[in-house]
Amino acid sequence: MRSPMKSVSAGGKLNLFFMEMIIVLFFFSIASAVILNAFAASDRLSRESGRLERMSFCAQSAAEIFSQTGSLSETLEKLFGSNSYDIRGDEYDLQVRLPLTEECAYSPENAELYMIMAVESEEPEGLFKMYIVFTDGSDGEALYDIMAGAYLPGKGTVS
Amino acid sequence: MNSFNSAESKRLGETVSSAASMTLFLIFAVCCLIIISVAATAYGRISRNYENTFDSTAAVRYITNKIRACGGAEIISENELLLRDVGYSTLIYHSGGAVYERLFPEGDTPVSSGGERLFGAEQLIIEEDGGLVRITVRDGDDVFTAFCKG
Repeated sequence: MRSPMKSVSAGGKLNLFFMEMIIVLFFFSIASAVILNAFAASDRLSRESGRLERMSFCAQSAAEIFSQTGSLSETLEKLFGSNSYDIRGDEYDLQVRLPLTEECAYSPENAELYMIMAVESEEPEGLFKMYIVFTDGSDGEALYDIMAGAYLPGKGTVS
Repeated sequence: MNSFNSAESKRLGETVSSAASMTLFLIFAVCCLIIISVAATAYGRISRNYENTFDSTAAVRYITNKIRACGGAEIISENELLLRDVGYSTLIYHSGGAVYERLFPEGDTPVSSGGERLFGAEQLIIEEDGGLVRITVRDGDDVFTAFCKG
């Protein structure tokens, strides 16, 4: 009895190999697209995780400094160094919007993130509330937010 | 003559088919290598980022939490912090690319040797800044700084 393979000519064998390779390449291209997507997503998540970590440190430090100093301008100076920050509002309701890099460094030229800090108090002395929100520099999406309170008797006003 | 031409074109067809198959196989092999290389690079970057971020952030968080929980914090030097509690004190220090912690009974002089290795970090800087403790940990390209009330 003759083998079925033997009945296929040399050219036919090559054509079969050719077809097999095309099928293999087709599945390989699908698999590689999925794998590359997975790695890209993983890389993006890893970066976002690092960025969130930095934002949480920045917000935590801001809250700690504010609870110690009771002053928004001093908080900004300690966090980001001496600069002219555009703090708006009156003494019991202050707000500032800071352009930051992904490493949470103050950078008016290269704003990858915005840190919005708002301080408010209903009484001249007592509990001050601080809202910190980080937004994406391109689409304004809120990435991280935190609210902190500081009881500052004797501070009178925030500046 | 016709049979000669037919044999010739058949041989040519086989050669072309064979070359095309080999080319496809070559493309397959090259694509495999590229995918493996891209995957290895991405994995290496993710792993490095994760390790650096984990070591630095964990060290900063650990130290700030210890400061908040202790009875009193004293900065001995740029990379030595003594946390006092009832009956014992804890020395956190940096040496040889790592952050260490060692407990001492009350009254003993703290020395920066021995203890338990906590995290790998290239640099640990502890500074006093207007009543706050500023902790900076550097590991690789990552630098994390946090302020904490001492």
